Amino acid sequence: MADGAAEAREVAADGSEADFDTFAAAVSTPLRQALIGAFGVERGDEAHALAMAYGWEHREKVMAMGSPVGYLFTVGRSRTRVRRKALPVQYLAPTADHPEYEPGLGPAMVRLPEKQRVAVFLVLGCGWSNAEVGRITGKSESTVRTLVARGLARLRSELGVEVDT
Amino acid sequence: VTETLEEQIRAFAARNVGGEAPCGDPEELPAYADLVHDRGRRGLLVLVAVLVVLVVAASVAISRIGSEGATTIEIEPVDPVVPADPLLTLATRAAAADTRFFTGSWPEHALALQTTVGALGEPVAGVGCDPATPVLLVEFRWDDPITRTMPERWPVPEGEPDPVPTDMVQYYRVGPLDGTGASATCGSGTMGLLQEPMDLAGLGPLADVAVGDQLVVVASSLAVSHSSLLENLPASAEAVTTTPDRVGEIGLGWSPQEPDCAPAEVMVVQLHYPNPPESYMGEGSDGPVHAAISSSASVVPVPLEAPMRSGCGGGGRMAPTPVDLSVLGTPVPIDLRS
Repeated sequence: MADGAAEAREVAADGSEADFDTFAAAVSTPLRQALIGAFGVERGDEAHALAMAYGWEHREKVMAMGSPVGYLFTVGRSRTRVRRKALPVQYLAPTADHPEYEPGLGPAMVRLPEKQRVAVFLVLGCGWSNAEVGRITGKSESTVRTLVARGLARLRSELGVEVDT
Repeated sequence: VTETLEEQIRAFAARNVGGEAPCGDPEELPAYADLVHDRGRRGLLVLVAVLVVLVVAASVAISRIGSEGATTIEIEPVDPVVPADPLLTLATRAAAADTRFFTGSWPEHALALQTTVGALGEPVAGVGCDPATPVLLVEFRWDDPITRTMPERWPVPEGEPDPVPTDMVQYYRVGPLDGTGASATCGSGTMGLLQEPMDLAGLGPLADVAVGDQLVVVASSLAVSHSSLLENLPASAEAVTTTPDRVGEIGLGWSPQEPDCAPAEVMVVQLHYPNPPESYMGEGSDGPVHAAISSSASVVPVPLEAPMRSGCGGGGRMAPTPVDLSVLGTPVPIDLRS
């Protein structure tokens, strides 16, 4: 990821078509994570595809940005909402034979407001900093921190988790 | 089972992003300051666009009053593109730009050929129909099998050979349109959407289609998801293809009964998801026509005064010029029934 991000910035300076693949490799993973956090796997993957397609079509503009992930995140959110209004947010259930998390966690995540869901998914699930999530969503670090806290509290309430063991 | 809720959320994220969590070092992610800046600029652009629309609407209203209520749709004439052989090819803008994918040969018997391009610029599927008795769905699997034409890693590391094949014929996959064949689709740079054949029966008239029918529909995965849009297609549309808006909201069709694809037999249908961007045009049996299908699935044929053009779409816009078919190389015969 670190190398990829550095490559993305180098590519941005160049902006040539031939470097799009390298650029895409750098931004694709964090972008997909953010969109899956927001919309679940199926819709998130579609949003990711749409955003990457937009990135391809507007590569000169997008590759020149200092914030391609944040920009494409908004593109993916916008496009998937227009195209898939009826498609619900859905996450994968844990594997039946070896569950790694409470099966009710996915549905509880879905019931969270999107802002809280994204914040919880990226900060607690993916290890992003509050500041990084804030840059994507256009919110302050403190706001993201609040969203995470509220989302976590709501999950605890819904899952009946009062105190972690 | 992990113990704390935070740990469960980490496992949950890892499961849903395909084992990619932890999601990298956030400190190394790009800075996103541009996003805020761009939002402000976008807001300004929206404001300007609204003003322009208001001015145009006022102008139209005034002109209508001046012409006693007559409604005129003016479309700039474009250069006609009439294929010299039965192969009429549509290429998306991105595909046309990446001509390395079109150095191979194409099937002579494919009256229709549509290419879609994945997010990273790789063609993933094409469709066509045979002028002979069975209506065939032709699926182009550029990476069929994957190990033969596609790299293990993407993008290809520097120094490794270019995985793009130079002869595409061997990668054609042909199947009858019998209600269970895989429809062409547009992927995200992967072949995932083609791994499971679509149930075409769900599309209604498509399940029973054959040459001679009035309507042949080849739907993209997006159109399938909006199958209600396909239920009310006009009976006069003899062929329809759909593409999602990101590679152009344009469908182009023509009569499978007419091997020469005479422009007079061509009718173009455009699917809009969700709003019509710009006009698209074609020739119908009664002259040039334009048809648009809105999100409410209504069909609105609109007479045009421009000849048919082959075209391509990108970003919901028409290509500025007709696609140069010469880049597609020379078609060679292929038995679509084999």
